[in-house]
Amino acid sequence: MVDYITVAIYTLMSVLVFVLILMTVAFLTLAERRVSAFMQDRLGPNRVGPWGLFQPVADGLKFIMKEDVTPLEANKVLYTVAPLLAIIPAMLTFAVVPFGHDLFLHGRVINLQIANFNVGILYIFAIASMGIFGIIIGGWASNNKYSLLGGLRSASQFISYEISMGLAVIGILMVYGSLKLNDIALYQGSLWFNAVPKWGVLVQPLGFIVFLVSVFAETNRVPFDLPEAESELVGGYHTEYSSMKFAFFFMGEYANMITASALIATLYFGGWQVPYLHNIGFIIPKLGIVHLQQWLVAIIEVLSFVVKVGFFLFFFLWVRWTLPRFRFDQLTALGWKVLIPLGILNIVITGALIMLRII
Amino acid sequence: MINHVLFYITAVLLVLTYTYAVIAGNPVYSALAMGGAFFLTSFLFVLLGAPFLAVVQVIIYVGAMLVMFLFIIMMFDLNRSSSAPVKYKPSTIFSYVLTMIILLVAFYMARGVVKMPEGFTVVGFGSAENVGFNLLRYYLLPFELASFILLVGVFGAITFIKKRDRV
Repeated sequence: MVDYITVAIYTLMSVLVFVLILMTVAFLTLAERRVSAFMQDRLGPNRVGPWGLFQPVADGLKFIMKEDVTPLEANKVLYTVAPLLAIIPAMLTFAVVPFGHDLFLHGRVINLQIANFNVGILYIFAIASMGIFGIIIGGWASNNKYSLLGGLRSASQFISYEISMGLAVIGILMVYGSLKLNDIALYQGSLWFNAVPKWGVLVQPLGFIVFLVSVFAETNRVPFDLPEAESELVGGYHTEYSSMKFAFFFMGEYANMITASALIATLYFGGWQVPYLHNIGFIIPKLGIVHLQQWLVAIIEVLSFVVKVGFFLFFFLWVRWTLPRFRFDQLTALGWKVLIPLGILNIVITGALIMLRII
Repeated sequence: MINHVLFYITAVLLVLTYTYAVIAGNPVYSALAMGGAFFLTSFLFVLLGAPFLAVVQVIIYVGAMLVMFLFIIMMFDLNRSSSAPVKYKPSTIFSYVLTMIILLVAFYMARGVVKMPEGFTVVGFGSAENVGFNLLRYYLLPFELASFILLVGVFGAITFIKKRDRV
């Protein structure tokens, strides 16, 4: 018998997460402009509403009103499909990210995660690898040399950095022994030497660096935003795109950033974990227990996840307005000659430490 | 029941997408149709209760192989290379007929031998743990040999692209 209430709850939750991601994407565009302005000692957009908060709405309206141009010699079908291919996978990946532990409500256990899929992390890899098709197809279908070069660059970049990202994640899988993101987050709450939480960044510092760099390359962000390098390729793969089609590419990029931040937080910073916080309250070894209501614990956990993701989103912006762009040969050299060997080294070290029962 | 319905829908779609991949005049369309077919195949794995295989199928075939395919195809100048409609010469028609006959014979021979899989009843059959355990415990030698063959392939590719001035 299907439990309709559970189905309703999870449906509601997925709609809620979807809306929240879209909202975050909208305000992230504003945040990007405000943060860049702050870093360059400017004001940034502050005219629409208080502190410019309604700027995303104005931008959205402008996108809808703009003329939707399709180049004459473009492949019409693929030109239209490409933006959808860019944004749909970006939206799908968040389904397996846990944003809290269980919530007990009227005798019902609700996972604060849309789908606790038992190959969760591989699912993210699989879906994320489809996001690249939007860029490649969009670049090719525009019938523009700059677009095509942007698409080709992103293809080679994506393939090289996906490997190092996978190698870095293998270290995490070896330590926590599960493919479920919720389990990985849960195990990071256990204590190391009875004092320090076993967060991924402490257990896997080398893996974390490899993962962080790869994720920046995977999301096409500075310093690896070669596919849309303005100085060389005009607008890169979206040179020809205008109006809502361009907006879809844009939203896809920002949604990918959100998923990437959530992934960094979940794999390396405990996800929804707050140190020493368990289902019954704070348990600090040798000091005592502070009891808390379960719903309060759930809220604290969700807040902790939101704060971590927010920090990494800021980190993305921070890096973008601080670092210059790589050259393409430097980019491939870094991927194949530095990150992949480091990833393999990380696996060997992790294996040795597990054999020695240190982690 | 629902599994059977889903299986047949997927199977029909799978055959249609692969057929389109063969007959589409535009190589990019062919490649994309192949991507769709890979997806449907992974859906078959899901129906069989092997989510690990399903996801790995998408990661390797769609995420890596197909991207490589598209990468190569986009280097071609499709306008200059013959995107002219296929002409039905007698030899072409003959080859189609021959293919159909072979398919029919294969179908006839497989009839009664191959049944639609009922889904594996062993719990966790297609799980990552199970696949890894079997691969590294009972099939270690074939597994390592396969990776060795891949390594040889990589060496071969590098040898081909190396400049020959130092030979």
